[in-house]
Amino acid sequence: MKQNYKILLIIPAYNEETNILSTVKNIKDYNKKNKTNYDVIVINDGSLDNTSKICHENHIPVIDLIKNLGIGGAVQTGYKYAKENNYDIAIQFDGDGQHDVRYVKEIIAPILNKEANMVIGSRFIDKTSSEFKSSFTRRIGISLISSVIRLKTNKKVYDTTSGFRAVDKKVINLFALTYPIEYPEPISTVEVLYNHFKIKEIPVNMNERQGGKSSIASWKNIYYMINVILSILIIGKRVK
Amino acid sequence: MNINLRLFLIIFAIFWFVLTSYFLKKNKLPVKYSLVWYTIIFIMLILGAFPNILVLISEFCGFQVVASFVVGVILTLMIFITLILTMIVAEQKKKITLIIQELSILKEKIQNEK
Repeated sequence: MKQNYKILLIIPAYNEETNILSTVKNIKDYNKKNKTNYDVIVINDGSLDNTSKICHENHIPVIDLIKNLGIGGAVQTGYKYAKENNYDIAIQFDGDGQHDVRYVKEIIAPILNKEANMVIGSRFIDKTSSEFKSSFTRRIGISLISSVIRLKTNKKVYDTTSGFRAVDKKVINLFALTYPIEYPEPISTVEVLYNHFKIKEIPVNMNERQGGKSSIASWKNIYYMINVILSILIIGKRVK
Repeated sequence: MNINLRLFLIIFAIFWFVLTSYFLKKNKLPVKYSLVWYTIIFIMLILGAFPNILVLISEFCGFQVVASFVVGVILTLMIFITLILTMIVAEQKKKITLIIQELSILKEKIQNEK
């Protein structure tokens, strides 16, 4: 049954020359060991370093964005690619070594069982399962966004900013058509809920980032939060 | 109304008219947007020529000095235009994003076929 599904890992990469090769190598090794066939597409978001060169030299499938678009625009390119190539499941996977390919099996399971349209790999759903440390203010921010989402959609999403997520074909089509360019993780989550798709969260472990920078800089946290909350409230008005 | 202010208004309107026409002729300003500017210039000229209208309106709105009424109107107009420009820029950004994405996917496809 599993072989019939086309599964794509979308790896957005901006200046990830130190990590990208090992990230993709881990996935390929995992494929060999477990007889899985996860495809990979690296979206090189106009990196200034050797990310593109490394990918081409090692025959890693890569789309080089001709200009930097930011994380939202890069990930959406991946979803467009998934739609064009008729993938059944697309998984967003970080290029900096934060995400562990062993969890892919677990986050696609609810989609294969038709329990959910979108699965989020969550750091906070189960406190004991994750050793991921994030700053205090960031945790407060995430839980505040989580409360607003619950208020608007009656659905508790614990890890709203997790970039580790799998979606089925219906959501791939939605994301290919419209994907929030700014603050993509929490806002796309809300859009999926407003479109009456089902979301499930699965606890995962995340590694400390091995290099590169978070797309959410710490000093921008408050600005980020206000923006996200405002966006969530406005999207609700738009749909109704 | 002060004669200097009236003169200033008229001279400014003429200067603005020449500038708008110049950019229009050079094809730097679309006709669509030039109409807005011409309307504003026209209103300025009318007010410069017949300041009584201005005095009446500004008194009606509760302004003590006509000049501050003029500044207020211009400021409101500018804010409004800025808002519209923000929307235009956002719309263009969406289109540019789309072009970059589609072009980059296409490029990858072509490279693969080689």
